[in-house]
Amino acid sequence: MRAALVLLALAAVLPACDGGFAPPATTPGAIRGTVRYAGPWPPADSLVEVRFVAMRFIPRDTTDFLQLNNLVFSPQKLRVNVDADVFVVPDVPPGRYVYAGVAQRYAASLFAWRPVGLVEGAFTVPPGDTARVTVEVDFRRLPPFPPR
Amino acid sequence: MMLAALVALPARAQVPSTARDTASVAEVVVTASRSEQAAATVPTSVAVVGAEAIAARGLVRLDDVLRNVPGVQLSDNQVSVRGSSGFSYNVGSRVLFLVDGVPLLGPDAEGIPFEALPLEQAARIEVVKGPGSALYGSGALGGVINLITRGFPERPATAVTALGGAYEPVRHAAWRSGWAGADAFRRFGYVSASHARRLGGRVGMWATVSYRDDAGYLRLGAGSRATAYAKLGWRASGRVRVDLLGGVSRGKGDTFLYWNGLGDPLNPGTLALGGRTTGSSDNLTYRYSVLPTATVTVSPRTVATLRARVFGVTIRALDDRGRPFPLADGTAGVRYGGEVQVAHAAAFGLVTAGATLDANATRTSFYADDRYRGQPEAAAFAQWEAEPLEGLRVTPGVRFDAYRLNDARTERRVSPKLTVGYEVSPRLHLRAGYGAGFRVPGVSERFTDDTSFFPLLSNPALRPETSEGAEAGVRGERRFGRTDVRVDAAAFWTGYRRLVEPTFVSEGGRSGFRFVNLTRARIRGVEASVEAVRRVFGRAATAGASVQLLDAYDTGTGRPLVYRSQYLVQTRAEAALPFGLALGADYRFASRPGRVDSDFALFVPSADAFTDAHVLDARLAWTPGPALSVTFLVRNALDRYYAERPAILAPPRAFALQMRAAF
Repeated sequence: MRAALVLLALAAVLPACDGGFAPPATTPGAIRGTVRYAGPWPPADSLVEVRFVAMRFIPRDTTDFLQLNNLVFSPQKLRVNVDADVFVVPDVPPGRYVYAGVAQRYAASLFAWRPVGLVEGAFTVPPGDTARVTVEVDFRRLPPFPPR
Repeated sequence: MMLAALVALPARAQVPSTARDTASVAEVVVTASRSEQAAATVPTSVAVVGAEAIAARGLVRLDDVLRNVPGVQLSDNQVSVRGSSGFSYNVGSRVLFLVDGVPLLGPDAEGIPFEALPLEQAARIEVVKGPGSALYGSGALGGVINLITRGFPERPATAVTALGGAYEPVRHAAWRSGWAGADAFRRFGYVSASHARRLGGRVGMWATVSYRDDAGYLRLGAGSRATAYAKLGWRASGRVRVDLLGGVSRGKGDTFLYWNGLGDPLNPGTLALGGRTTGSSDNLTYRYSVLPTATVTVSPRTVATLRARVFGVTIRALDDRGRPFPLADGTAGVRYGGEVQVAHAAAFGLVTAGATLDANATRTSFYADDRYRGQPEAAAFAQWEAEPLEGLRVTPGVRFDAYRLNDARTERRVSPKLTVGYEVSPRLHLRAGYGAGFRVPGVSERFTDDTSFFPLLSNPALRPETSEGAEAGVRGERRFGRTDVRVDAAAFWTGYRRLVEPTFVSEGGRSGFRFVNLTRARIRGVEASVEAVRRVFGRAATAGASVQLLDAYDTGTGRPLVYRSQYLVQTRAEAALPFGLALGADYRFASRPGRVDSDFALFVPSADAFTDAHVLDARLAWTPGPALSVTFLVRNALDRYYAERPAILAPPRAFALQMRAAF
């Protein structure tokens, strides 16, 4: 009986520990941007969707577009067949984003993405603050992918 | 004596005579050798969970039962015995599951149907640790679990169980902001009714129906399930007994697959760029099983047992309004087969031999060609239990399996075993053993090919995983005053080859996860359990603890094997109090895995987030008489947030009230 009660007490006391998982302590930031388009838009059947994407790394191929742990993207699709557009990406983990721009999904496959315009250089999202970017898209001169 | 035990009525032979807790204390076990053996002397590491231990804890799912078994760990719905399994994306099981000795892994994903089982009618659950394919064939890579159902009582018995409870609201405001459902208590409930009786001198029956409903503690994590099982027994003559066990189960609800990161773990995540939620699926599932068994006493020294099985499943996805899509867009499968086993008590020992034939046919819209796939199998096995010297028991055995794969290949395996037990004294037993195991990958692992929302690539060339293991152990008991103390300790080593792991590949213009024979591994460790039992207030007070130290090493990469905890500690205690009250608690600790899969973490946010698990379950029971008991249960009483598998939060603190009545 005593042993059982001792074990019961130990069971309650031993795990004097923290509460386990908790939300990340960092304060998210945001990205606000403007896109300007030039040149003829691609055919409608190749415009499955268009989004702004910012990555913490330089992608090697389109499979890297699945690394959602290391990238953020605009929650809403960007408008197509327009001259310009604006977007906001909320709840962005703070840090340095080295490869960002507008990406076009040209087919249903998960990997059918290609960049059509890039942010020049890297930028940083400060905690609790907003980074502002501009993307120039010229459909006549698409950026190379994978990047050189 | 062994043979006499073989033909005894299940009700008498299989129900432990005293209400005890886990393990090593049940009177007999059958899984280690396909025949009854005294649990205290069986030369293999076996843990046993009795019916009373399950009922006292208000457990309604098999996986919840297994979490309290020494040396057993779960990664969501995958069972790991002595580190045999990590996390393999809900496909396949490295531990074989039996019901009354009949394999019952699903024909779809080769998984254990934790929710669709007659747990209310379980007499006990045996867990044999270590490779066991010499007796049971594919699947017994790391161990064998056997759910043994009850027999039929002398007097009619009816039982009703009702359990209702709720998950506590999530305490982190940041998480609640992602899902309003986490602000309130989330209910769950369970009811069951059972009746058992004998019909004349030759026929017995039991039937049980149950319904479970769970609002879930995650968004898109709700579900319900109705299950009905019945067993009919007929003693056709003094030599022939026939049992028929059958059941059907209907489940409906969401399956939460992975979270949206540690910043938002209550919502399912998305795998693909574009924001489409793919971290959950909504399904309607039916499972059917029919398991007939005939036992024939051929002569006073020979018993033959014939077993058959049919296990079917259909899975249909549900649309946004809860209506099922056609079965052609879902999954359908059936597994069927049978075996004959003959046990003969010869002058030189007990010889058990038999043969099995099994097949399955499974089709799912996720296969590239939408065809029915199967892997028919034939096997023969033999075992000899001898006692060459007084107190020394030697049991060699071997099994030959041949699997025919769809691409016309045949996989053949020979699985030997050898166990040695020595009785130093009636209270001290030594054991040592060697065994081989293997698992033929299921059709889902080999043929699933779909990239519409989750990139999965087929691999028809997948080979069987294999294992071989050895152990040495000691089991003893001693009385200290009025307290009985039992100790069991073992050291074990298991080597694995061609372990199947899901890996992200990009080749030939296609990219996705593919099951591949990736690596070799070596797992070694020690395990020790101690249990004390003492009579207090006319009832047994128990206290026990078990510890497992594991060294799981991936010899292919030179790093720790993924998703294995180095330390596993489980304690349990139950004490009787005055006025029919009893207090009990189970505590388990699993250390953070030494290594996790980095591929999965690339795609799912925070999928590499793990923490030590400290889980305390407590209960206060009131039993005013033999016909009624009321139990207040607190699960995860410390309200610790942890994960058993990548990217799914384990249940938070929950409260429940259980009432059980027997007539």
